[in-house]
Amino acid sequence: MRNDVRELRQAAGLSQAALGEVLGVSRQTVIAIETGRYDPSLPLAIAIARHFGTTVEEIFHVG
Amino acid sequence: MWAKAIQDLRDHRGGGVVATAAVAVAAAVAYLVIGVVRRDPALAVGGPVIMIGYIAVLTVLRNRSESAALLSRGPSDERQAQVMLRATAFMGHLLVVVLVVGAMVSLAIGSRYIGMFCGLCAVAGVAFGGATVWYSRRG
Repeated sequence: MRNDVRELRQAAGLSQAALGEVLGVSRQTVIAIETGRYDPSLPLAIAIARHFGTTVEEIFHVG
Repeated sequence: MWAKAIQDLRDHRGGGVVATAAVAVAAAVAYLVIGVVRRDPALAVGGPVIMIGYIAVLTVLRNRSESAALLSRGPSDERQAQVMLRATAFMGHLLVVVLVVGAMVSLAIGSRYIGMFCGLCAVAGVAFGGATVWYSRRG
């Protein structure tokens, strides 16, 4: 699943480690999400969306 | 819910390191005792060296390698938990293949290990069926 996590994180001036700390996940997991290797669970996707002040469907794109 | 689950995992992370080390040390001691009792120097020395070496390598690498961290202290988030589940499933599948092939070969050649292989296959089958029922009822 494509997503805009990297763009949102960079726009917020956060490192991958800092975002991982905020979300309660490892830096490697942030990297895996950004590169599309891992699709987060619904609770984590919602946490990401809330952190960036947007919605899940605005960040994650099917197809 | 998610934050609490992660916090629970983090709270137990230190315990995971200690538990892994404790199991390795216990195994090292067991190898040592068995080696001494059986008067087998290779087992008495080699077993502990392997177990302590394993922990030493994990301790050195766990801050540099995610794999070493997982083996040392366990998962700290959902992706790492999924990695561990996949690795466990792979290990289980491989063991079942080994057991089934071992049982078939034992049956074919009339080996004295027929009972052991068939017994372990039965344990694996019952465990898999029981776990499927258990987890399907737990949602």
